[in-house]
Amino acid sequence: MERGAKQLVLIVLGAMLFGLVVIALRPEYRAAAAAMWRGRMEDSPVWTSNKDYYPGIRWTTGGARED
Amino acid sequence: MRIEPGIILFCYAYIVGIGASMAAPSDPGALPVLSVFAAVALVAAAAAGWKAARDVRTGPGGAGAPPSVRWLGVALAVSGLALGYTRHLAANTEPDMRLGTVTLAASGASYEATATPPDSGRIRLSRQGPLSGDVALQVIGELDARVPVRGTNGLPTLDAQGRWRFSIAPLAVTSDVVTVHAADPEGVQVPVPQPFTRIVAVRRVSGPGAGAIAVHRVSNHAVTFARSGARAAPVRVLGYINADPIVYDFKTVLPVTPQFIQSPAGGPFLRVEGGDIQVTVRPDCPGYAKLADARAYGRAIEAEGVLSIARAASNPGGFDARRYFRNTGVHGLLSADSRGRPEAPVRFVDPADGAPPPHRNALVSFSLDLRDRITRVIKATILHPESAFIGGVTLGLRYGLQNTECIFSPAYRADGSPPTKENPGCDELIANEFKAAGVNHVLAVSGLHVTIITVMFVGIFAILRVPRQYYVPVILLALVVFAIITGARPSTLRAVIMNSLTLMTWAYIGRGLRSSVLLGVPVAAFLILIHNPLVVVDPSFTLSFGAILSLGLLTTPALDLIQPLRGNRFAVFVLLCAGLTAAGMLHWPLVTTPQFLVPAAALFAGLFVLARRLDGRGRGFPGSFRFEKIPQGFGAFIGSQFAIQLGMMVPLSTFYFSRWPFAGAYANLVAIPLIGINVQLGAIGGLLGLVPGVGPWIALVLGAANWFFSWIFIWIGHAGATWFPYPFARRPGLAFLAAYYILCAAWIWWRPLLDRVRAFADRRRIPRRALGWAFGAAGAVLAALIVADLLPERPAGARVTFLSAGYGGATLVESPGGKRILVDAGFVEYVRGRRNEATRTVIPYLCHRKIRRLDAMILLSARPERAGGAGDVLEHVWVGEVVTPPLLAGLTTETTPDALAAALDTKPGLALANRAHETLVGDPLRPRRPALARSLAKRGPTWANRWAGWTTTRRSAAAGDVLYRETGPGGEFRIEVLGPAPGDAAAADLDDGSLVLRIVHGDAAILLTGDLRPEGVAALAGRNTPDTLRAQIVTLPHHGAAAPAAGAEKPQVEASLARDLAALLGKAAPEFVLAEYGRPSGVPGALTSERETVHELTRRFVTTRLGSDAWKSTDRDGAVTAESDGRRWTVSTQADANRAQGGDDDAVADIAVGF
Repeated sequence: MERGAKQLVLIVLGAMLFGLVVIALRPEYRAAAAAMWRGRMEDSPVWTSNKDYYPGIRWTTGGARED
Repeated sequence: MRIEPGIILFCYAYIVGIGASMAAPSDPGALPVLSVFAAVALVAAAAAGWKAARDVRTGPGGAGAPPSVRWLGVALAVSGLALGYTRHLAANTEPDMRLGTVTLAASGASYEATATPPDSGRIRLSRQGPLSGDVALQVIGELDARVPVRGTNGLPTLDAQGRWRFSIAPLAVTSDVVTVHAADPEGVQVPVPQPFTRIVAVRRVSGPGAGAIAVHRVSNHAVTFARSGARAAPVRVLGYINADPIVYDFKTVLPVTPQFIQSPAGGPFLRVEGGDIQVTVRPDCPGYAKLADARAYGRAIEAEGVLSIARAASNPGGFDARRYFRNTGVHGLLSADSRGRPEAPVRFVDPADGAPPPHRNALVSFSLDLRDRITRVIKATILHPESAFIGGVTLGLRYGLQNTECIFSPAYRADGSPPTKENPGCDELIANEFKAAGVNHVLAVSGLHVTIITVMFVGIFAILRVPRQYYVPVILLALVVFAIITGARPSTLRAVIMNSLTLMTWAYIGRGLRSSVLLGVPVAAFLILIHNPLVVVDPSFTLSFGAILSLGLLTTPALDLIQPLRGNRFAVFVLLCAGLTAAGMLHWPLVTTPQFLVPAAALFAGLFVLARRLDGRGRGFPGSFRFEKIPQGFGAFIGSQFAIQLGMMVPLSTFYFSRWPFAGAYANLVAIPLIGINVQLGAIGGLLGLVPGVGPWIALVLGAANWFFSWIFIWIGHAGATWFPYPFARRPGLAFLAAYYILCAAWIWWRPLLDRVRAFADRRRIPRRALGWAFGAAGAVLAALIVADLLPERPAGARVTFLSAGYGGATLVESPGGKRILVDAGFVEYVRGRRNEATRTVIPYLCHRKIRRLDAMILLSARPERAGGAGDVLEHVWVGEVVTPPLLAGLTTETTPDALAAALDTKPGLALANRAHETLVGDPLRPRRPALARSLAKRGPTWANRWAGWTTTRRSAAAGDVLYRETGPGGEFRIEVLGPAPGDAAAADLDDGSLVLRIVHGDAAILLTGDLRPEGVAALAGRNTPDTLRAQIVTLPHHGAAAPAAGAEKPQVEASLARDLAALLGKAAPEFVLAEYGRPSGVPGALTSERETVHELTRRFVTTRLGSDAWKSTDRDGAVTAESDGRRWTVSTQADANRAQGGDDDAVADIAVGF
């Protein structure tokens, strides 16, 4: 079972590289990165695409759901 | 001495005991004796184990185990059997408590108590022994009436420990007079309306002066408060939310443990003694947002609503929601309706002094909060709808994927362009495409996901170089949290238990993985079933264990078949697989016929013989071309896929769902490795996203990658659903499954089995040839069982089954000579609710009956509620011919919406015209959707269709035609057409142009009136004599909901019934009148309220005229079956069948969960 560690590292590293490519090429992800940099996650196209997906879960600094 | 074999034996014996209880349950009264026996057997097994261990430790060494070890095996088997049998019987029983006996005497009655009730409860009386006449009694006693202490806000109150506060007032109670009938069978219980805490006396009001009456206390189990249909009554419940609310986009379901129930409303509160309920709230309910929140878990509530029992099957072999809910511990469904109420129907109640909710488990709360935080990370890092996919496979989130359309839907087009004929897009649901592609299992968190999470954590700790003895407990905790997060379904629990055992034996005993798996499967099954033995038939349980057993036991035999192939023989094997796949993709029905399979088998047998010769001569493909050249991991994976298909998908998918996803064998070759990436990246990204600072950035990068991998996965589902068929299959019975798995077991263990049998035969000097004959005979018997199970049963005479398919028609007619004709195919709608009665009810019923071929399908009218499902039926079932009313004679795939609307005398663009066009002709923007004309066009006389017998002819019919005629036992059987009259202008009308059929068998007849309007009914009655209309059963036109005109007032409707319907019933003189009815909402052509009103007025008219017993309705009675011996029809209903199986009520109203 512990031999899977090497596979896991490869998967994560490969995914990181690939993810950077996706962010570079997809406008929604570029805008999401910019919104995250500005600290305005609610402006992120990725976040707004999920506005109807579990709408009770909001982007806050505390718990996932707030009163 | 190793103990694993003993543990394995005990666990499997437990499961067999459950099976024995299902097959041959004892009377619940035997439960105490059985419990004692099981306890004694367990003690005996423990004692035998102790003795065996001592004998092994102290005995002489050498070959052979001491006798006590063999006796231990017997003791373990018997105790496991007894425990399983008893546990399952107890889970199925809510025994009443016998309180005492009333002895009748000339001077009155005397009551002798034999038990003290534990709390207030309801009482029932039953005859004990013969009575010379009916006896009227009154029960006299006391009730400790509980009234909740309410605060200033009107809510009940809890003390600091979370217990409900009541004020208790003892009341003297004298019950209403209750009559115990002498003619009632012994054991029939008569309820006493008033509840009691203590019984003081029982007074005889009238009746005989001798005899005995038993007094019972009804268990206060939650199921005893739930009612069905019209008997469901409002109740008030005090309890707590015991799990995470299940959030859908149109409702939220709260799992609730009721502690007190006030039933009926205004009555006393009774303590609930077991059983959970589900409370459904809708978005318009005040406070909905807080109810649909994971933080609702553990909080106490007061809820008001109607407590009903889940619906039983509405059709033979149909889905039994009542049994499904009961098996999962849910015994009542409370619908919280806020309409017209001043206060919210569900209100939170918090303990005094700000104490935390007492029923909230800290670990569960932590897990649910963690889940919400990870969901937030997913929402921030993965675009929708891929985010819903990742949420589903990583966290088990069901909300969001339920109604999510395929990513190639116009809703997700990057350029926002609408669909066109050249680029139609897709509007199938992702979940439906996953089912068709056979990858839907990834959405049910199970062993695959748990193993991925386990391997991921092991990998992380291995990277950090933590010794396994230290990190395994952490992983065990993580798995428990994962199980809680994902809803703790049986499949998840099975995997968590097995993985935990595997990890512990691997970390602390050093045992290899395979032996851990062999032990883990039965132990996991035992632990799940000891908690709830009823879940043994739940698909989540059987499919999960079926998969793991198939993987563990069938992979090696499958590889043993393939691995020896090399050279030309391997090439023939590859050609066989590719050829069958291609043939199945191109023409699935052909591939399932003997006329294809027999020559194909002969061809490939010949090719194998030729290949073997070529291999022998070293010609053709070299010996290096073989399966073993495939990389070992991939080769083993292919073998495991074979094993899964043979051991689980083929038998169990068809058993539970009547369908087999052909694409699954191929889609999973890519999907399963890919889902490992999806889940690991989802979990790692979700957890890292919680780390302040750099965490969200890493999560965004991983989320971007995972978005792309999810897109690929969803595409695989789409491709699998588009390129491969998703056929229906005859649903196997238990005999088939038993024989099938015996054959599988023989395949797995044939070598040791053969060795043992040979050794036995040699000891007994039995000739080997006799052994061969015995094996051959056993194989023939098993094969015969399998074949016999797949043959459809034929009724002795004629049978007509009116299916319960909601508001719409679907009737199966079976002649004495074996002809099978489907009349109407149910309603289909794609826009609202995506309801398809053909694939949900009609075809699954045919699969349940093992019917693959219909001699004909007759459509009485062009309305969507009759003809809507015709296209789907033609896609999946052999149909000899289609008979339509004259109105549809010219229907082709080129019929335009305007032309069809004109033919139907409706306006283009209206709902009726749109639904009719999409189900009769086909939407050009949705080429994959079946429609009558489109499906008929595919059934033309091509060479493949002719080879498969897959051609369908069509014709229209009119009055005077006899569609079928045969002579046999009971007399002549025929289906004759009484309308529309040829040449009559009404034949061109959508409704009055309906086919009117009369099904005749000897002297018995049934009249099907289609969708005639009242004037059409009058015309039918006018032009026919009583002899030509006489029918024991008459189906109501328009499902009993036809108004004389749109917007007709009640007096007009009643006048029309008294004139037109009365004329028909007067000549037909039926014994029964049948309405093929259900909730009309969504069915175009009239207002729902108008249909409901007319239906009710029609029911009153019929029951007044003919009596209430004459009224049959498929929403109330379920499927209605009429069987004829040529003299008369014997009518039975699914509701009758459900009652005979112990259901306390009959309602199967308008099944909402499909077949």
